[in-house]
Amino acid sequence: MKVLLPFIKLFKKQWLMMSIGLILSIIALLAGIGLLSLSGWFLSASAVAGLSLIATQTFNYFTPAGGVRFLSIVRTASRYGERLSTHQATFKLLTQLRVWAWQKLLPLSASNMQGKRQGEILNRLVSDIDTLDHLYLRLLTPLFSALFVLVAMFLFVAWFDLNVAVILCSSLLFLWLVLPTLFYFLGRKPGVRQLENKRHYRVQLLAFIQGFAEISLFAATNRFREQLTQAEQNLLTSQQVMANIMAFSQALLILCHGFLVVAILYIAASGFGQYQPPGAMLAMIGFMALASIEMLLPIAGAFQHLSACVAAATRVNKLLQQTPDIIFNDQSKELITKGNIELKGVNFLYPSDRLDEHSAPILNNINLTIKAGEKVALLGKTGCGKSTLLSLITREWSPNSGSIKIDNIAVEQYSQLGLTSGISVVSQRVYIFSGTLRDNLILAQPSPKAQPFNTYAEKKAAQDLNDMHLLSVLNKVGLNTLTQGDKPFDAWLGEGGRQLSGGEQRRIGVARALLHNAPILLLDEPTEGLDKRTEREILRLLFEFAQNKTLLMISHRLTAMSKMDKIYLMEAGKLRNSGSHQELIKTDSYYKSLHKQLV
Amino acid sequence: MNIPLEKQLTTWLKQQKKSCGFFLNLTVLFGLLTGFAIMLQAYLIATIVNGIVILNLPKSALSHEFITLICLIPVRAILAFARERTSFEAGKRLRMQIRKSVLDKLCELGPAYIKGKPAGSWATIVLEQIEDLQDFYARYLPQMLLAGFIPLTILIVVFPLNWAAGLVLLITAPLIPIFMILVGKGAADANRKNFSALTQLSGHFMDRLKGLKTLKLFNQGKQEIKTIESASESFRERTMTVLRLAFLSSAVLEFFAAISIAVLAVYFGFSFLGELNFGDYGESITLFTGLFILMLAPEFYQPLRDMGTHYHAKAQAIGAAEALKELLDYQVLPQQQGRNVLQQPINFDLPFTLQAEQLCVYSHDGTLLVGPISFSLQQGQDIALVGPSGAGKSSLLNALLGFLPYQGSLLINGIELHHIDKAQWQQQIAWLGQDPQLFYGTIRENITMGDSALSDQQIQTYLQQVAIWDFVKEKPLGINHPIGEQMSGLSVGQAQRIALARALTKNAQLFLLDEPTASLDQVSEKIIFNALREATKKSSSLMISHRLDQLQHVDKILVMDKGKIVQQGRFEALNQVQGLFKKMQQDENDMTNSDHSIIATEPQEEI
Repeated sequence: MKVLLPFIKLFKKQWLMMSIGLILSIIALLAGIGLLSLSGWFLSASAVAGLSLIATQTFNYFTPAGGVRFLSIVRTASRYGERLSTHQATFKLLTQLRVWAWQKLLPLSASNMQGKRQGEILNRLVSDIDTLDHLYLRLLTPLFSALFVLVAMFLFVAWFDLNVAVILCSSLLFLWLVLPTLFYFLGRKPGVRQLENKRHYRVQLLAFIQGFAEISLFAATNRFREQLTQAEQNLLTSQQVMANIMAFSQALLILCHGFLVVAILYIAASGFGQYQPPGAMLAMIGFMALASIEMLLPIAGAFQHLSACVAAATRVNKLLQQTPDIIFNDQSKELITKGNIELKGVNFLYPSDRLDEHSAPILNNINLTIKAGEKVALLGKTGCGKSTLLSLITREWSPNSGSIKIDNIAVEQYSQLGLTSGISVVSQRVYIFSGTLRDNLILAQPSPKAQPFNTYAEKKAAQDLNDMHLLSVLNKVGLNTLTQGDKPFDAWLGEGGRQLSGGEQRRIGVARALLHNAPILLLDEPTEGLDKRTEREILRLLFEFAQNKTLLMISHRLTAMSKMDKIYLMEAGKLRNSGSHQELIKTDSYYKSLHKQLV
Repeated sequence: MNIPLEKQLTTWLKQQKKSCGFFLNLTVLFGLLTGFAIMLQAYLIATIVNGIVILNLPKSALSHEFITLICLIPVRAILAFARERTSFEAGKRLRMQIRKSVLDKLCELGPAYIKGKPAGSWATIVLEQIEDLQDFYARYLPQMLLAGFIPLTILIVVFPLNWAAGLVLLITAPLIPIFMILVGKGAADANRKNFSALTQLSGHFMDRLKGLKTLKLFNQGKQEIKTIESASESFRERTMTVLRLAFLSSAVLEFFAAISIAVLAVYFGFSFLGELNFGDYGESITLFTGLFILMLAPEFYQPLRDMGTHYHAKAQAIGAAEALKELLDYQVLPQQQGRNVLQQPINFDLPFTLQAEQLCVYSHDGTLLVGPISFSLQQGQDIALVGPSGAGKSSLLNALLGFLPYQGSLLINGIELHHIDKAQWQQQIAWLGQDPQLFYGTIRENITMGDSALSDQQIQTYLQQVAIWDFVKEKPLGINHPIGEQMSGLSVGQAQRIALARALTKNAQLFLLDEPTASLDQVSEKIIFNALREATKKSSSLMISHRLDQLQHVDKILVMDKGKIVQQGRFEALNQVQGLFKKMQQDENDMTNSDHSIIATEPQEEI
């Protein structure tokens, strides 16, 4: 449970709203329990008083009757306030959690998040953060307010009768401690099994859906359906175990609480403190015991949240508490101006493979010099290491040995700003953010000097001016379709907005590179999967733009090779041969055969 | 979501409840029994307190009540346990039933329909969306019924005891439907808004995480913190405005409940003191009556309050129902139905012929995808299908596979495809697509998918034919080498070769090939082509290809565009006339040879 500590610490900043929520929930609980106890006492006391005429006349009924009305109003009001403030606090915590996770995640490099299932890791992270959000609302608040009410109850009852107070509150405390812990441990293993079964079912389901054509052609539908049913059964069985534990926890709570009420009634029936016989006090203490279930109800279910939170926290900690292995030199003021690239003796192996002695390096002693303004292609089959080479230049990864210099300065010496502002990357996957068209473009623009806008009008004017610039770039990359209509730059793209075709996405990528306007342009198969016409247009744009820039393109096809100053042939992590298009046709049989095939 | 749709979906959800069997009713029954048990408990406690406080009885005189109370508590615990169990069972049965219907429906619609959406989103429908139904049937529906029953029962008990107290409850009773609406519009709205705001927030966060690499490349990571923060904050502000109102409406509900408890307490208190004197049918009010009714009052309102908390379950279920109903109500077109009505026996020992005459292929929603086209394929012939993407090549293949409906005539050995038993027909076809699916299991299990009686020697022969035996042989387990989930541990080329070996085991009459080498490097491509050529010597084949340069050997090339056959003939013949085939070849060559044009022909401008 220690894993929760970093998150609880994180909550410190929101202490005010959180404490208000906690206090209000305590007040609501106290008022609820008080209302029932007071009503019970008032009824009994007035009934006793009603037995004799004198008592009837001396009985002060205004105070308790007023108290009953007062408590009922306090209860309602504090319940309302509690809901508002706890939700307010929850939302604020959520913001904080996200910002915190983002800050932690940002410096982590690809090697920190290694694994082919990066998408799954991210999915996990998002849902884990949502789970941790319950920590305050569903776990800490009910637990703490129950504890506080328990103490208050003890003090109140002990004032009358210490014995009854000890019995009542120690039993409640016992439940408070034991119920969540016991069921947390009971539910842990089945919980894990349930997750595992769910994952297994999903895998089977995906295989069935993806391979459905094959399955029906091999007349194996029934066999696969049986497997699916079996996997579903396993999932349901493990869910049932969890449901049973949940049911058991509820039943146990009712049982313990019920016996406690009977015990308190039985003990108090023979006298309650100085009240011998107890008289109306019996109703008070009995009703108080009865009402105490209100504070225990959320506790019984807390174990589920507890195990969910612990599991989530463990995973989040494991991911985010890594030390980033790629650190930028933030003091550096160096900027890339010319665009020379020099790789010397670069070796690279993915960390996951480093332990395996037999695995061949992804990059093996790479030496590559690109002069400013040169256009260079890296040609090789899928998996030969070309993309890895690009990611070393952008410092997504670091080489095991060897040096990479840009403008004669090692890439490690640049600040993040210095390096990124000097390099534009256009790859085959252009990520379109869920946001406006403007948001999707200006992220590529070098951030303007922080000029404070005094008025909204000034800000608007600056934005309009920039929009004109964006418009010209969009027209240039052939995205006229996006600039039609009213306020085109406020149009929503990505998730929940307009879906762009593959070609349009790639053009956005080119537009970003144009806006970024860096001296080095890295192209990672920028036209893969596009039709010929679009491919031609996009390449034309990129070459035109890169006229005075350094260009490094990786490809596994001969597209646009004749325009390259130099082509490097890459095979199994090594640069095998190099030369211009014409030279290679003459000297390299492999290149020749590639070329021949296409002619 | 608009209201009529929500109503429709709720109705649909309620119609499904028969799948829960009697477990749903059992859940309600246990809920009711719990209600009775609570009433009995209130009765006993009230009797005990009354006995001791008013009648001054020693507690030994009340041992009977104490013992009954002690016996009652385990009963309540067991009821609570049983209720949880049955409610889970009800939801479980329903989920199993719906899952079965969904999978049945998918099997009926076939692979061509399934391909219309990514596999992941089908998995979400079958897994998560159906899971989302659980609480609707396990909690929401039983609670709905209890919310009607329990208050009524309490009224029936209270009225004979004291009409004034009954009246207080009864006056608030007509408010129940109003509360219901309040809950429906208020607390429910709160829950839903809260829920959807959270979903949106996660969505936004997820979106930025997915684009993290892009943001880093533009050095925007730190700026993004502000965006995440402000998005989060604006969600909070917007949601809180809604929540403030919504919580207020549930506060009103609680207020009524609390006030009526207070009114009851004050009424009884004052009656005891003689200040009030009505409601008791002439007999004086006892403490027993007062306490008993006071304990029942919260129970009177409890089911209503629970409704608000379970609304989340309803919102989730309605969200899920939308996708499920759409899928399950999807009607297959009439032309596809009755396919197997007039089954005719077919003799596949005859030389194979395929004759398409005025053939039109439709999508499941009735859009014309291909046609009308006519062509024929004889035993041993190889036909290539070429054309730009979207020309309808894959649709034609799908129709031949029996996955898409067609009109016109498609004769196999002279018999209409409609009238042939689908399974029998599919036994005669071998199919290889761009990304064939191998299944979790061993290589042997994958190869023997169609014929489990294959010997190791035969398997080896097939693997040798596709030139993957060397790879398999190296593995410590040989043909029992496990293939991981999602085909991990195999390259695309290796997977493609194993899939080809599997297809070869069928000894099919017709090979349908959908760009089987599209994602392969040249070495693998060559191996696959050679193996295919060998295998299809005796049988016929129809292959979609984009490699125009490799079509010299095929017997016939069908050039398709926009669903029609625009050219057909042998390679040389097509190469001699102007037309789409020629144009496609030029496009192919353009990029590699004459791409000087990219710079030269365009005016240059500085950006």
